[in-house]
Amino acid sequence: MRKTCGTLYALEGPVPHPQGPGPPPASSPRRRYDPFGAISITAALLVVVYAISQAPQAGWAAAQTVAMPPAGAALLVVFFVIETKIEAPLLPLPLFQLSSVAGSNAADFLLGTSFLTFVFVGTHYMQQVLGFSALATGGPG
Amino acid sequence: MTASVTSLAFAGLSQKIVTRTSARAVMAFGMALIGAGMLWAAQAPPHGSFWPDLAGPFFVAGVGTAFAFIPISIGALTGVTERDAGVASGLLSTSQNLGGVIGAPGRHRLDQLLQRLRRRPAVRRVQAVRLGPRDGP
Repeated sequence: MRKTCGTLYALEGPVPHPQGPGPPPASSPRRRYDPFGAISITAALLVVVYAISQAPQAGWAAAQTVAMPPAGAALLVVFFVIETKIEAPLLPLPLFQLSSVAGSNAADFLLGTSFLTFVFVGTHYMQQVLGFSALATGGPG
Repeated sequence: MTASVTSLAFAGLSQKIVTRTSARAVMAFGMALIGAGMLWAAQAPPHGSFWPDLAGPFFVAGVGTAFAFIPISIGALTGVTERDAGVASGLLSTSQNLGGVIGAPGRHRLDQLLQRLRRRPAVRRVQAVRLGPRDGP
């Protein structure tokens, strides 16, 4: 149960690190950050998400739709290179060596593409095709 | 609400089963149920209504979410040190939201591609043969 709560906390923003029974990380007195990693991953996701979300309006063959995903992919490569070199990476890559972590993230990505889309399409169907009000859609649906 | 209430109702059971058996099996079961619910919902007609057309699919998908999302949260944090737990759960939220972003416009694109495929000459010819002579080009 405690582990599941971690996901909820992540949605609400930064949480103070719980004081576990282990020794505090006294070996590194000054806290280190990873600004370049943060900037590169944010830019990468922003560029890709912008290109995809604007594609239905801009057109799937439009210059921005074609050019931006490779640019985002390049930024993503930059991010992973930074993560392998830096002392205190934003995303410690050894996490992906745990098969349960890698698998769960892959499964959650797939659930995002399918289930979140289903919720979105379902809401549109109820409100725009069946003519339900927002309240009626949220109530029984 | 059908899906969320159902999901809440089955969440405790899901958690218990995951700790007794394997997260992988429970996850597969949940995702299969969500898929079944989606396929069932896709049968809803343009003039459908809630109880006959949507209540069943939403119930099935709701049960599925309980059996899919809970083992995923557990799996994403299994073996992760307490120090990295925040990063691991943030990563999980990012994965899911990224999937959501790709899902909706991706579906739009799939629709477009399917429509274009239906309009292609080869498909038209097959249809013409099946349907008999047609007027115009």
